[in-house]
Amino acid sequence: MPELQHETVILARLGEITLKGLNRGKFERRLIENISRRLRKIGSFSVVQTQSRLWIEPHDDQQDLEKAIRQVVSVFGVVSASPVWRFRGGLEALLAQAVAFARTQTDPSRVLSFKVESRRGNKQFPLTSPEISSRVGEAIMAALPDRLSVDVHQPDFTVYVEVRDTICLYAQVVKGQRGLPVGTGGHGLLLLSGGIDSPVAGYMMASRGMELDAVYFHAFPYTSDRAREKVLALAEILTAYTGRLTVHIVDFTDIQLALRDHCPPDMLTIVTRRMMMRIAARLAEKIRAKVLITGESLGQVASQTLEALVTTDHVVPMPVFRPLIGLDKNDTVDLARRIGTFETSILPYEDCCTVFVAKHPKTHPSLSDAAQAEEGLDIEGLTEQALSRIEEVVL
Amino acid sequence: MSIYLDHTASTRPTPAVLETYGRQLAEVYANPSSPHQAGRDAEKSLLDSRKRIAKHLGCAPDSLILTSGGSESINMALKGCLLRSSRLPRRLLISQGEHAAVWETAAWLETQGCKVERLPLTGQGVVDLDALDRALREPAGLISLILVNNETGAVNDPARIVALRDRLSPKTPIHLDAVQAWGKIPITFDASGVDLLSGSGHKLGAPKGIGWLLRHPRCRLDALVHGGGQQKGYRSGTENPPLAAALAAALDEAIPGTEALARTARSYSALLLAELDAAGTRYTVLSPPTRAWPILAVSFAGLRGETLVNALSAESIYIASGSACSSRRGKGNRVLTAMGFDAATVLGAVRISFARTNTTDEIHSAARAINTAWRRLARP
Repeated sequence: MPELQHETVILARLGEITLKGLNRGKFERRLIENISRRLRKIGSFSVVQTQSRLWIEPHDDQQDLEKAIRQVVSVFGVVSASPVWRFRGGLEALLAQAVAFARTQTDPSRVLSFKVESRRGNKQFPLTSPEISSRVGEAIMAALPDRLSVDVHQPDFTVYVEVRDTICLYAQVVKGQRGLPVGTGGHGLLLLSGGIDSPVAGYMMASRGMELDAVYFHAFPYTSDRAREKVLALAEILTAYTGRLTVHIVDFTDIQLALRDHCPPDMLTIVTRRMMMRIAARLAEKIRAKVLITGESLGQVASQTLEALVTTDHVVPMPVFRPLIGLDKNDTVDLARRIGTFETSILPYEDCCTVFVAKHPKTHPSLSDAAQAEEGLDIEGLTEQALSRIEEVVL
Repeated sequence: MSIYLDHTASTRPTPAVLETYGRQLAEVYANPSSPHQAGRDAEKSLLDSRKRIAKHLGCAPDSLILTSGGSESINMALKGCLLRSSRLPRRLLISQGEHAAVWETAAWLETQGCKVERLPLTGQGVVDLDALDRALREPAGLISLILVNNETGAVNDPARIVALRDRLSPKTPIHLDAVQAWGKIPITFDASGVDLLSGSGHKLGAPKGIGWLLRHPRCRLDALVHGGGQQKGYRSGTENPPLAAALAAALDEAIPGTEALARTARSYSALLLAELDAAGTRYTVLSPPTRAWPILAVSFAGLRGETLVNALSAESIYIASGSACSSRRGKGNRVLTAMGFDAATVLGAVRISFARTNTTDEIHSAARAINTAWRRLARP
């Protein structure tokens, strides 16, 4: 029966982007690019835009739509996505397709309830939206009386009908990450440790469209190569949201030894943080990132008191974004679980912040405390040395 | 070429073991419980291996229960003794020096209503016999003690433990966790006077996946694994003739080599420490002066054990920090702390363990690498 032909495609709905004014085109083009790049890894698809929606069309029936939809909903800027049946035709075609579609939603083990929701964009279509719902519902019930029942309040599934220049049917709506497409929000450098917080901070900035690079300070043998692998594993998880991610691994051992030999133990944590920020800022300039991002949260540990943050910011000639600054640790943990980094973050390897920790680090350091602790330290030399010992891993 | 000095964690199978295991995997694949000829051939191979294993361990073949490894053997000894109905109370005596396999099983048994007493260690890393004496004034369902400590090499004295038990609580069975003892100190089950003795193949040249529990006929024990009734119902599950053959082959070399290994390890240990002294590297030996010689625990001043392990690993020299099973948990070290060492000493602890395949050159190289790492990384 030729009238029963349809194509199965993915419909992706856009959120905040559609509120943009003159820039909207730029955001949309970036989103299409991001989705296309992601889909290229898993198969052969085109991404086509109509109004505030994107259509992801497989090039042939060999493509894995389920995998594709998982990719699409992990791209920032997509609010939700659905696998849809799409076809042309009038009421007769719609009813026949709707019955066939409903049949795919049935469960042989029990009777399911359903309802129909319709939207008519094409005002030439002879029925109104409520009339479409009721005709489609009747046709489905007439064809599958033993398998389905109608429940308009709490149905097991909903058949959505959209009549525009083509007709679409779908039942499943998969939630997306929302946010803005990566690449529309500038370029930042994320200080990535092995902990719970920094991957979440990176995720949050990427969700606002920021393109990321990451920097990790490795102090082998004080930190093990397993700690390094863990950081790379975290970065790999982040790529599901950020797309390509370069991790810059700084060999930090000699600096850590120099600081340890030079600084009073209670200032070591702050001075170490300041060195990391200096190196990160110089690296950021080199790769043209305009901001540093950290996972710090106010008051969480000794190096994250207001005074400590002020002291570290003082050495950085660019803004430092701290998206977790006002979050409770439990909320950060929830986010980490949701984005899939938590289980990796809690693997018990030392990160370089925990190797040389004084029993009682200074929690309220002043700028002059920090300057004094660093007196006589060859800061420029150490920074240069660190910059010359960076390994890049592109994920 | 790498230098492997972590034989307490695991060992490399010897060529004879590899040859036996590979050949048997290919040829002896039938189920030894099957009645056909191939099954009977497999059974014959298994019985032959069991006989050889029993001979090396100093017991009758009937006393031998083959298991999947040390942890299963220990679980079976503790749970099989304490959870069965018996006239003895559900009271377990262990020491602070136990491996996690005993320590955590005991903690679980507590949740099942058993009472567990954790006896202190002396500064020499062995159980405090006075404390055991006091504890045995009340009846107990089982005494379980580690024979050779996996972190320090400290050796408990079975004769004195058995004598105490015989005098104070003759019905209480004794289990010794001998996982680190076989091949490192001379030991025979029948002469030991204990009721249960566990062991693990991969600690002395067999592949991972096989261990044993030796049971004296007087000791009543419930099975942990139920099923087809293999091994007289003590341990169900299809028997594994190739693995048993590999274990027999490993014991063929390890048990007769016990004394030679002790001599070699003792000289390696002395050689290593002498080289550290000569370079001015500061350290404390944590192992007691008398010990199972293949195990040497040392703490370096101002250098975390983990850091030294990482540094040596970069030079393809492999040692352990604390116990390999607990080093990734970031906790302090229970055994070393129970011996009275302070937190800084415990943090600096590493374990170096020798095998007869190590060479004097390897010990020199390892000592040189430790001296270099200590000079660069330690901040005493």
